[in-house]
Amino acid sequence: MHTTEYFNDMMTRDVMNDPHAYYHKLRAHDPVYWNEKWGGWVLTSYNDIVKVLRDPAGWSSQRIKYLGEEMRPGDEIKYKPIFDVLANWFIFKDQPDHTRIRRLLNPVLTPVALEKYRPRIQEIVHSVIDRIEAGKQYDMVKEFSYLIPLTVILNMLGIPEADKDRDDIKYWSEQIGVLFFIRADEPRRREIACEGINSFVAYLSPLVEERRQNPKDDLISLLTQAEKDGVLSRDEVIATVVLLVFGGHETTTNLINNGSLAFIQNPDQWELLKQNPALVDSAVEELLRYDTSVKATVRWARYDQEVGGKLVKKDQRLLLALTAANRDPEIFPNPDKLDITRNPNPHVAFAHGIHVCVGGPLARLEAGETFRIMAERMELPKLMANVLEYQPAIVSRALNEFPVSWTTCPIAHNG
Amino acid sequence: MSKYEIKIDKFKCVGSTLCVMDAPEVFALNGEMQSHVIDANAADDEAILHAAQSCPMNAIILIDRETGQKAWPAR
Repeated sequence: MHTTEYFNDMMTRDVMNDPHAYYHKLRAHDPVYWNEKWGGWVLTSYNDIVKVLRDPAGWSSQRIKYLGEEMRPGDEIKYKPIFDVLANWFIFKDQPDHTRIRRLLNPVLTPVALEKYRPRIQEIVHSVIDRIEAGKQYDMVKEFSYLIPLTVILNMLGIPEADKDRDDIKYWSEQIGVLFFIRADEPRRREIACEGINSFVAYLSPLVEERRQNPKDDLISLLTQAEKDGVLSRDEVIATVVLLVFGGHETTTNLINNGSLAFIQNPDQWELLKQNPALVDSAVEELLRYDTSVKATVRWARYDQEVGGKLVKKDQRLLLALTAANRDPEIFPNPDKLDITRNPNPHVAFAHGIHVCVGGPLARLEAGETFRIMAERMELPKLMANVLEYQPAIVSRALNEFPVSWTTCPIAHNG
Repeated sequence: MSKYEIKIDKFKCVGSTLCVMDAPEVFALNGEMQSHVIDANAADDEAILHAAQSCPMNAIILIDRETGQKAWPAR
């Protein structure tokens, strides 16, 4: 029997390192749990979570508005970049503003529209794998995974991909992530995020201005054109570029890391993929379910309403534990088993409803090409640590370090 | 009559509502907040294909009535 104190502390090392065990216990104890310490309800059952995600009329996503209400007088000035930039992220807007921006971005991020990037993504994956040498130790977090999605999204946006640009952007994104992913161990998370936003906006502003004058075939130009057409405001253009870079790589990096680790821990599934490369799309769905990169998302009640038999009052918040939903035994037989042939696999890794991740198809394409090419050219790496630690965050499932080594060089590829 | 028979994969549809916004005369949300077909002949073939391709989940399946073959999605 676990105590209230156990269930209320979502930030312990045990919960970070094994959120699945914690959420199984919490779901069995109370699937709509009032967490006094966090100050909101924590949902862990698939059906409750899906119901909330698909009901934007009942549940708000305006995180920055609610953040503003928590602040003291004067904080709006101190944290101005958060309100100028993050408040303009469409993922934190409700209808109709959300839908206006979503419908602008969706056509260029659908599975069919993304096909034109597939050859470039394959080139990028090959180039990252080409650098691997046998017998050397690599930290997948810092030397492998992020390079793929970050290079791809910079390419799509039309942002320079030189090492200096990429390193700076990576650093600013991590600063924003301290707030976005709720690094509860960092009391200065708002200040750190403001630093990241300011640096990023200062870097992007001249680039965006240049595209206003000389549009190209890239996503920044799509946004500046939308500004000319009166669809986006000037602030929304910059905010959306920051969002696309940030959202375009942080979570996919974790998908590649967590997926690689899942294969290391389940070598039979890696062998199955190597023997059956056509399973790659199904494998990516299973990796998304099995160790979900975005562990949770938050919604606020727009009015008093019932969820899972509990009365949630207007403006109270819900933590929707996507990780818990994805291992709910009511929906997924044998939920703790990695099974790359699992079908159906109606996971919620990208959420459901109007806020379903706009970058989901891109993440699927990138992870699919990464694991397909890895399985074609590489052996399964050896894990070079006995214990792995995760960043103490409520939202992201992110390894601190992921040391690995390959005993053989990647097989050469023609191209 | 439309060239396509339209099916919705209930395990894939997440209720993004993008198809409903694209072709409201063809698609609507049901009580589960998932897409369903209200009238497969209410828009031209091009508009139906466009709506199917707007789905981030590839949850809309189009079958060519004449050949019985899947016309979308390709994979």
